[in-house]
Amino acid sequence: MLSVRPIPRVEEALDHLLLPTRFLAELASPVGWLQGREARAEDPRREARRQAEIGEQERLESAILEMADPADTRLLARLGSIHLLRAEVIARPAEDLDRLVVRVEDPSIVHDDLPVVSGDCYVGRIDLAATRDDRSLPVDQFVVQLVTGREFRTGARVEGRDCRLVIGGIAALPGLRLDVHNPSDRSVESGTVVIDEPPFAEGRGDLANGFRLGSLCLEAADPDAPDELAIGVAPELDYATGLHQVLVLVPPSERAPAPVPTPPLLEDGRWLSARLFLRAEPSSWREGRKLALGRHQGVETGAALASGPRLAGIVLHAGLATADVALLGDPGLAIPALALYSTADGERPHVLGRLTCLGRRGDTVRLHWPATIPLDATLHGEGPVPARVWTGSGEAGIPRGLLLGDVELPVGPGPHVLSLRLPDGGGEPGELSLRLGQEQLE
Amino acid sequence: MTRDRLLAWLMLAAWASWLTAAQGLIVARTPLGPWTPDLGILLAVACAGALHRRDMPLATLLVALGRIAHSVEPPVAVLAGFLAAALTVQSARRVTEVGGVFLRASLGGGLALGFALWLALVHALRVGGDATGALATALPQALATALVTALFALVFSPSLVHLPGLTPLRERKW
Repeated sequence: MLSVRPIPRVEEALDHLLLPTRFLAELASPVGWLQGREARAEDPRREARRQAEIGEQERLESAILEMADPADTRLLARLGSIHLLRAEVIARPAEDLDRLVVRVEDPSIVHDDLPVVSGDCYVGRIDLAATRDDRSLPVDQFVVQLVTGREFRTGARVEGRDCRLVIGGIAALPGLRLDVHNPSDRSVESGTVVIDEPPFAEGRGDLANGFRLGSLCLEAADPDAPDELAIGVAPELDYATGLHQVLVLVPPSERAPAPVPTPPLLEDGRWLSARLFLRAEPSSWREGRKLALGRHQGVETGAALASGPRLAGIVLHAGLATADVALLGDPGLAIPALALYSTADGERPHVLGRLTCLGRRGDTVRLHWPATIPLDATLHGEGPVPARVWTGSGEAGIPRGLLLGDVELPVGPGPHVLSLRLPDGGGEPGELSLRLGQEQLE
Repeated sequence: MTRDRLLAWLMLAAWASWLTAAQGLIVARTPLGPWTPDLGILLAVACAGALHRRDMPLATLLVALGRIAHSVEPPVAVLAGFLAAALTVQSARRVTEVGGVFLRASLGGGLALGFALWLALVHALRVGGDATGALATALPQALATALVTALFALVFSPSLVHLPGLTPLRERKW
């Protein structure tokens, strides 16, 4: 039972008891001499590719920031002098999936209940009480309550119709639908639902007036009883895994957010040089490696292991003096991801959500893509669309913008299986560095 | 415990680590992949047949530690797998001579198959996957490993307990 359902205290005790395995791993270093030479970073072609990938990483970051900005001209006109404070989604507490943790650029102007949006869509609101309760959060990080939360309520209206309603929580409908409460006109069954809070409402919810929640839809709650219909809102956002960058709407009475220069991802001082014991794994169906670093050196479970701008793997378990790393081909490994593809107007990001590895096949890694937000057939035809896949935000330990590889994205509703072509044919990664957590940094 | 036996135990731990590391390198860096014998299981089977019964728990633990040192599989699952393997060999030893060629091969192959499927099952359940699907996916590779392990057990199993440094641990008949 302990094998299948780990108990944290037992695992912790085992970490101490198994400390000697570190010496056994070191003892096998001579066997490692048989594994050949590691890839060298100073190879000019490799270095050129690395520089190109870093450039692409910067373009991805710009595209994501742009994607989070409102594009609707009516919304932009309505926003007027409201300040848009940029915030990156950095974690989602496992115990409450209706919350996000975001890092804002200027924490001094953030108040309780300020609305949070992404693009033209409404996301939720700042929760200062929950932020204070989580003592592990640094001063620039805040908890956001998502509109999907059971207790969440916000005023809304159906565009073009005289129908007001209250939205909040998840409806008991197939798929993810936002719950509708107290519609003023029950005959309205379709239309775009937008935020509509009274002016100067508590918490300034009215700042987000006009931001979309989704499309009103009438659906059967039970597939076996197709006549029993219930109303819900089909959201435009993937609240579960698709939020990477958001905006906090700050009232004009506050000062404008102070711009904060963001260092390039690989130069932000949160990387620790890492070494593997052996580039090997005895189980043939796994792709794992043992890292010669543990919690004593600041390694945390879930931390990203990178080789330059590329994601090499994720720490599955951080022991005291060693850590287990799952490489990209390890079955079951789940990664928040974004795709960047080219259009006639330039490069565009697409939120892929959480990709789950199904295993390796030759030089490619098969990934399960739920396609909660599929590629639109009206924009992309029959597809597939060539795209480059990068890590997204939302998992503590995995920074946004590490390269995974190239895929052909299928168009239309999912789920889909993607064949990810790894950079350099999926060979062993070169020099490695490990992402440090905020606590380790402090 | 005499100094000779202490050294022999340390050598057993070292051999377990070296053999598992070599197995990992063959799996990860050569085209053989699953067609690689489970050298840890082979060493455990060889020890179970050659060591005194009272020495078996420690021997099994050391061989399991060798595996844990190089694998990302959960240590609890590896320990449980090796414990089950040791108990199976001990049970077989009560009723027959496990040094026999075919029984040795059967035990090696069977235990390698069971161990591989056990680890695949644990991994699937830990990541919230489909256990049946995971077992079906792992079965062809596990069978390949089991077959090669059985062949290796036929030929090399006696040699494993004659590895340098292990003499003080062996019973005389080996």
